[in-house]
Amino acid sequence: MLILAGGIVFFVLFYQKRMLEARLREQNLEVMYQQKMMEAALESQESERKRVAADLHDGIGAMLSAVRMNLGTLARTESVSAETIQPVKTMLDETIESVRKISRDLLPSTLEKFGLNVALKEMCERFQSLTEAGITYTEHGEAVPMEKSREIFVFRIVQELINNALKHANASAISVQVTWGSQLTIVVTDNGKGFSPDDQPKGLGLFNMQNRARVLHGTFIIEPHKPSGTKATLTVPLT
Amino acid sequence: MIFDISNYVQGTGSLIISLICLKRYRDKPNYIKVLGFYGLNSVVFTLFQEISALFFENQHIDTLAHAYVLLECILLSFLYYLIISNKRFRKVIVFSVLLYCTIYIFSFLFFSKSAHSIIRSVRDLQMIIFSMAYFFYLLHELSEDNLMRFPMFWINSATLVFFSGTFILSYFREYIIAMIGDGIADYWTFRNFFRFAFCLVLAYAGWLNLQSIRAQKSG
Repeated sequence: MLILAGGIVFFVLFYQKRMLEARLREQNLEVMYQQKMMEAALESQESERKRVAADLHDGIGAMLSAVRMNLGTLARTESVSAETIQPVKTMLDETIESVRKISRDLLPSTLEKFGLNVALKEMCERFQSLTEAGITYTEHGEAVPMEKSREIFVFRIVQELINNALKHANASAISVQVTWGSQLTIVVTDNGKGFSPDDQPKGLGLFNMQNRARVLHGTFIIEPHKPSGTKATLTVPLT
Repeated sequence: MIFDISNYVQGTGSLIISLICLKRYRDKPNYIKVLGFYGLNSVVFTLFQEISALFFENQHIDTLAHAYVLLECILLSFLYYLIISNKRFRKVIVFSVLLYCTIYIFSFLFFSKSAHSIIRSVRDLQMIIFSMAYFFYLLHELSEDNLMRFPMFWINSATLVFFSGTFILSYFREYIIAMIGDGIADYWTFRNFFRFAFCLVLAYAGWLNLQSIRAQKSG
């Protein structure tokens, strides 16, 4: 009876340990599965954007350019006056430019051709030219090439941060600091409306940025920046 | 002499339980308080037995022992009642205690010669069943805590091992006495030391609970 009782006690201990190990394995598998699903969703999003960008540039963009050329030919005939054609030409030019901008935002070709650091710098310069806000870009260390799929995620996070600073925070000054080392650290600060520590920002944009950071196995921290504004720090391992 | 030492040793074990489990009484959970009273109950009855031996020539020693068995069964059953939140289990515990009390009364009324053996073996069997049921309940709940830091794991293990050990002794008491005669003292000495080990494990459970209370207070 004693031996049986001792056996029962050891069995309980052993069984609990096994069950907890099994539960932990299951939880790890669940986390890995969710990670993979998120990665697949984001990659699918990027490939869709790539397809739409290509269709816009090659399809609509090309047709609009052709329309503009034909309009130019029409303007040289006597049946239509130059004053009538000019506003149409201006609207068409603006439309072509909008299509190019949308296509560029959807698929940053600089990223594909020249890498992340050049793409980020070019994005800051482009935003600077379109707004009154001052956007400074600084880089430290030697750029390390990453997988294109990882580079696009980093690019999207910085793009979203700058967009948020301009549209929602009404920032007049934005700073993007990129540091290359054993890991990539990007700090984006702005002097916009900011938020209080008790009232963390919520929204789909922030959710997407956090998801991307998670897929990159990095960290993404967003905090108030004194005296006013927001500071976002993205850290991504390079190995 | 070693038999007397074993008696004192098992009394000391009970005292240790009551001291540890009743220290910082207000902060203790109910089941630890009940464990403390169980230890105190053992100490009190041991003292009564000593008084009976010294001043009354062992006249009431058996009565005291039988009363102790009943109280021990009720206290330990109450401990399980407190620790298990499942209503069905609780009803079973209450029913078992009532059944035990009935068997207790009937055995003295109709089986007085074997009553000593009956009340103890039924108590032991009841405790074995409760402890096994509690292990089943524990596995079903599957806490993520380290079981070995959980006081009730130790209480339950000690209960299962101790009462499994004494069950055979209780059940076959008359047979053992008939076969061995005065040699029963040796077996009872072993049983006393075994009970002391049981008390030490219960005291350890009480100490674990005390540690967790201290950690909560400081944290």
